[in-house]
Amino acid sequence: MFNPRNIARWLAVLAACANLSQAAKVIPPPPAEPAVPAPVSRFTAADVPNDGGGAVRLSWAPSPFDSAALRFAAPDDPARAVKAYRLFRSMGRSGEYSQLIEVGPGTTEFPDEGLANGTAYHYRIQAVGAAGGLSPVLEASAVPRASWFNGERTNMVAALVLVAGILLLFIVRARSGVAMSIRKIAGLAAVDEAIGRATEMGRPILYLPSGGLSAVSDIQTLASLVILGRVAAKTAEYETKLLVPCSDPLVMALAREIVKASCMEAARPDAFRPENIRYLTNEQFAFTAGVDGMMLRERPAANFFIGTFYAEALILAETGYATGAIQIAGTAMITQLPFFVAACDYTLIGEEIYAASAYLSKEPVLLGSIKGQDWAKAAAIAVIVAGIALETLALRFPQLHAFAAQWLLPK
Amino acid sequence: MKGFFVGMMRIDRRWIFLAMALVVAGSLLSDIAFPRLEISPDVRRAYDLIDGLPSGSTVLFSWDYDPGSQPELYPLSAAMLRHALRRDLRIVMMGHWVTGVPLIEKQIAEVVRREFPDKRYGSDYVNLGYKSGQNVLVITMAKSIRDAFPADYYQTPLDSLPLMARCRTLRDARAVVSFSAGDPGLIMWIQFAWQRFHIPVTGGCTAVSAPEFSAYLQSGQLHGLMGGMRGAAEYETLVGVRGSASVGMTAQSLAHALIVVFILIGNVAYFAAGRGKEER
Amino acid sequence: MKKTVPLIITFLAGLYMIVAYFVPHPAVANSAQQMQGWEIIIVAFTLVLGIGNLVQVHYGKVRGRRPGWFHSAALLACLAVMAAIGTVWGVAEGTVYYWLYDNVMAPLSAAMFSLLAFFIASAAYRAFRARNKEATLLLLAAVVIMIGRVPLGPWLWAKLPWVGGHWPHALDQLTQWVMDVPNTAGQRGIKIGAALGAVSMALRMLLGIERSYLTTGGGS
Repeated sequence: MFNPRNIARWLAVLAACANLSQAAKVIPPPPAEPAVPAPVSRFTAADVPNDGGGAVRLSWAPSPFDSAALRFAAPDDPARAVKAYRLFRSMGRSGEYSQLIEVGPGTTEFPDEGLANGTAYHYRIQAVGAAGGLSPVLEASAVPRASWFNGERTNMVAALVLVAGILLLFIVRARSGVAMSIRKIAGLAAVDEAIGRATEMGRPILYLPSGGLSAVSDIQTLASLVILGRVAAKTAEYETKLLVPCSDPLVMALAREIVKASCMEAARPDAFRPENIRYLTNEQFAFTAGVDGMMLRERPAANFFIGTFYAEALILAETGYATGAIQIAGTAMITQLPFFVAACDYTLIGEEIYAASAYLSKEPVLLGSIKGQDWAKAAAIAVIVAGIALETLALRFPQLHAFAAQWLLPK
Repeated sequence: MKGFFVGMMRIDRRWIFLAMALVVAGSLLSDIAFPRLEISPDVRRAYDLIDGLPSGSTVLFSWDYDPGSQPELYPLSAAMLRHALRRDLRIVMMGHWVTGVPLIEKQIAEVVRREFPDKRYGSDYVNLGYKSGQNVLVITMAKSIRDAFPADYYQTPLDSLPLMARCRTLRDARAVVSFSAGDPGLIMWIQFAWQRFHIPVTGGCTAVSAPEFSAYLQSGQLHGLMGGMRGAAEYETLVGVRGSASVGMTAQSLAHALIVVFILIGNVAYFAAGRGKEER
Repeated sequence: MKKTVPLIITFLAGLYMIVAYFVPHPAVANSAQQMQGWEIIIVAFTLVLGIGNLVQVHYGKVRGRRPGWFHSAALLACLAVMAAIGTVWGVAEGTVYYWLYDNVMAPLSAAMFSLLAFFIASAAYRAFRARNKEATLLLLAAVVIMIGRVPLGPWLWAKLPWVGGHWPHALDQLTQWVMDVPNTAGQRGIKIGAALGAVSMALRMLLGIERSYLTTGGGS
């Protein structure tokens, strides 16, 4: 009859036999020690792979008398049960060993860190009995080394090369004059309408490059700043007031530079008003309150909320709705998209905000990168389908699961 | 009659606000309670992770929210903190949001010192406070917590705190628990603590952001989650405490019901007034 | 020149960080970590920039007695008072700073956050109309989730004649299914698309194709 407990018992017996076979190599304990526990088996030391070096992983199979790991193999004499393992380390094989650490029963590995690369380290392990008896010691050694490549990330290199390759290919094709087109994005097509309406009404435009929590390193904020440049060029042309409240000082500095440059480009340097691009606070809801206040006082005719938004999204969009402004939102924050869709006139969903600069400028090279992005997406879909197929087939051929895990899972 | 429905569709939203305020305040002041609260698998997983750690092991709690989301996230962090202390875990506390750090102090005063007076600062729990840097900070902590935080929140050098002598790097923590209102928060911890260093990550988030985490829960990158007040109430049920989240469940139930009633009214008005005449 | 130098810096720094992701050797990893350390320091200094801007804008408003100048005066006063008491008496529990935090800032922030409850109600009232097939589906899913996720839902379900008795867990299961299957599937789709969009944007920036964020001289 199959019984997992029996297998475990056999393993324990095998482990004990393995210990006997190593008996010739081990150093005998002092004769006076009573109640000696059996030593561990398969003690190994190895350099930790794919790391910056300085680390060795020690591992062992527990002593058959390990009270935590294999209770059923407990010795007749309870004093011989293992209560701990002692690890020792030395720089030279015959050098002085000093105790590294004492770990509890049930432990089967220990990472020794903070070592020097290229130096050989020698280790010993000894089981400590409940009555203090010490088992014979086992030895192992290893040389820690730093890796030049993290092999666990090979699949990431492949993905990077694939995606970057596809993008570059289409950028090069666009440079060489192949015509590219992009589908209509309603939210971006409405930018001119919104600015035109604000100009007619003689009211300002409010542009938020992010919500109350974002930083300049956020790629959505950068995408939003690119769109701000286009909006600013138009507002400068129409001489419409543009308000840009920021929650990050660096975003503010960047937004000022961008708006200034856009005004120059539109040949309206006098349209640039630095005081309209200001820092409010990086406190989420204080920022929200500040922007809501601006909406109610200045009554902008058009509001742009493009970038990273959190819980403030709906508070801002509903206030904007109440003031009757035309609202264009855009974010890759999935949980806020429904709120923007409900309360704004147009919403750019996810990747559309990254496509905006290409869409608005119609520059062939940028359009090429968008086309490449679509093909990269097709490749991602292909990989997903391949993964599903592999895992489904793995029900029949289990080795396919290992292959899929090796190449398709992040490490 | 038609005029009434058209009026209903253009109803001043302040009436809706008033109804909402009355329902929420009324249910908080009354003592109605709905009996059954199913424990969702996500909350169960979070509970099991904490419950399964050997007593004496170290966990890192990160308060990644500010006073804005306090009403929702405070009960949730209190429930988990209580559980961890009962399980005799050692807790390293920190926060990625500068305005949220006093909330750690508040929780120490209201949960740790009041309910667990025998827990000692320095050996049972440590408050590291705030440091900027977000993911860079996490990577630094994985190398050495001392490099990231030379001293704790009260400017005590880490070397003089016995708990920190045992917890030298982030890898010494058996789990990371983040209470997250946005970024930096749970997603950052998943990306760095779990993806890079394989430290199990769990925690809680606001109800609004909970759907975002379903992908991470399904892939096993997130070890359970408490979503908003309901998640906290479930956790309170598991821990056996009727805290503020359980009390708030009635208010939330009735608020949801009110919104559904409004949706129904809106649709009745929409069809009665003749479709498409509701443009603002 | 004014644009070339920043473009070269962007390209080299970006490339180095990508390389560092794959190379764990200290020769690369340590310097990359140091660069990230610089980022923390630079970001900390930008706070000075922010405060400087705040003071500049609001001081100008107070001095010119422009409309609403007293709000600006209040802002400057609060800024100065909080900074001063925090510096002099510290920020730990029991200090004046902590008291102000706990009794002024925390309730104000929480009040702003709680506006969500009201705005969700008014937005739902407007948005969830059965205009067409898709909108009706959305509306039904919203109602199921809203009722199913709170204790009221199962309580009401159990009271329903016949269905409540025959399928006692149907509402819970339906709620969980909507969250786990259609919701997660849609989110994953948007997420993968957005991630690829971000990669493409980052690559355009590294290669200097997207340079309007570098300003001084207009768009790309």
